[in-house]
Amino acid sequence: MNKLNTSLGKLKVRNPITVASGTFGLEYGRIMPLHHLGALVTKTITPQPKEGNQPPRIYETECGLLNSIGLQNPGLDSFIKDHIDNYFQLLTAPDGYQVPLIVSFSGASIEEFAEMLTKLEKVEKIAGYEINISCPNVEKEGISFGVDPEAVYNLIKELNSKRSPDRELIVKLSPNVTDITEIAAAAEQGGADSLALINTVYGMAIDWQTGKTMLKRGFGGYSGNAIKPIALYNVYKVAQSTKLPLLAMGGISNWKDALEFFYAGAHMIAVGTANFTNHFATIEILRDLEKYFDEKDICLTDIIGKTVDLVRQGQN
Amino acid sequence: MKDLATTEYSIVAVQKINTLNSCYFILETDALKATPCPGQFYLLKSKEKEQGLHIPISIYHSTDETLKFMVKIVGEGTEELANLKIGEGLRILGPLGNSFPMAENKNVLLISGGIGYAPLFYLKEKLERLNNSTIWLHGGRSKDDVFPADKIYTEDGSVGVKGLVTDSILEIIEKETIDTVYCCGPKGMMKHISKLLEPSNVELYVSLEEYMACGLGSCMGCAVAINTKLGRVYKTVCNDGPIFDAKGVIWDE
Repeated sequence: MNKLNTSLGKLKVRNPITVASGTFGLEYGRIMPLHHLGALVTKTITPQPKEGNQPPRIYETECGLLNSIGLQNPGLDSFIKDHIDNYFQLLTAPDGYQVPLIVSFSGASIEEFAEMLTKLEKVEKIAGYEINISCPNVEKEGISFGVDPEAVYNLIKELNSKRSPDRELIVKLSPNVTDITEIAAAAEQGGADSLALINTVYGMAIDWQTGKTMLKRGFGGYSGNAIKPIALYNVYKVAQSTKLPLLAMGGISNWKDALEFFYAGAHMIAVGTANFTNHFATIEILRDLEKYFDEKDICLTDIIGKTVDLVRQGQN
Repeated sequence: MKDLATTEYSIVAVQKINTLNSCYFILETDALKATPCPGQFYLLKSKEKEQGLHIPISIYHSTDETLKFMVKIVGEGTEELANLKIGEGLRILGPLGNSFPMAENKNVLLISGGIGYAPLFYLKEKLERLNNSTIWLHGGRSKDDVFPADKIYTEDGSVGVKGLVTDSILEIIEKETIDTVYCCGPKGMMKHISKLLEPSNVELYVSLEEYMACGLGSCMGCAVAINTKLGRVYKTVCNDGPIFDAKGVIWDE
């Protein structure tokens, strides 16, 4: 029996490990098989090709990484025409099983989001959508939606009415809000199937000798080890406020980190920055979790959200 | 996507560390299966280091048994590499990126500044096998930044000609009827050479550098602005580069 069997809403997966959008593309297929993943989340696609932000775009700082990529991508039409088949091909396991592909996308208006979804609905084999309303590195797409509960509700309601019900509708949340549970509730009421959290945390770095910013755009999104406690708290908090299953991420770099997020209430976890610090992080986490659950002789589903219960019973 | 089936991730042993001076050292490790091409690079970091990005280092010398990297200590990451002990494990991913287009039967000029010396050392060896005639100009701030070449320049005049490596390249190109120039060094130096050669028909290839995360072309972190037939686009140093035809490089970003 596969002790790591889990699901994210209607999305059945062989294991609970996926990747944070934008940190792990098909290029990783050059050094490892990709069908070990529970699912793959693509880099965020926008309606038109996007050139991205001026470099420097990344800067490594205390315990983490700042980035300001700016959603550089080839645009939806090119993604569908030139890229998506490569994903399906590399995500096919030797036994013919298709690892679920989740397409992350973002637009500047409800109309843009809806048009993108309509185009993606025509592509077979897509398992779900991650609605990116939380990118801190672009002006129009991204976080301008994700901080306003009403805008989130209206957007998700519209997308929910247009998507086929067998595709998982995931909304990706930002930690850069006053109350993340309000945004989570708006997404839930709008008809989301599950929530992904957290996107990166606003951050910046300055050269102490010149006063210049290390990222050309001035600020960016902070990720990696340092944000793990922030992510964990947000997951824990949202897990109590919503019935929706959670895809958790933020500083996960090994199996013990992953366990913490399962305890906090995650049904799946995503590896992000750790894909850069250890290209094999996903494979290693899977291997180590399998070993752990085998040795303990328990199932992943036995521990999901357990911390929430422990705290409720005063046994934390 | 180009065929990089030969890119490997492995943990190899440090064979030797040869300290050149307070800033520069040569790190020797076990070889991987694939032979790198001149201009390609590897991502390196200590096996013991769990967090933190890898350091991209270009190939300096390669044999069937060993890989050699010439490294300049510029920050924590390179300092950690300098402190590795013989036999210690090194995480290594590569070879990565594209490589210098190889001239054949040509008059070739190599120009390096500081640690830009490393990739040109490997390039020169391969160019000479292709029956090219090479001249190598190398410059640095002081004698500590200088390694064997045909002509040496230092800013402080402590060794070689006092001045910049760029000072007399137009004369040399004309006198030696140079066809192709290969260049690696600080951005300002490469930009200057690119402007100098703009009016000429001499081919110029430069090796660029940016902060880098994944090394595979996934994260789009190490972007540089390049003019293409389709207009100005951001290319990745790690996968589209690090070698670019200087004509396309937009230097003023």
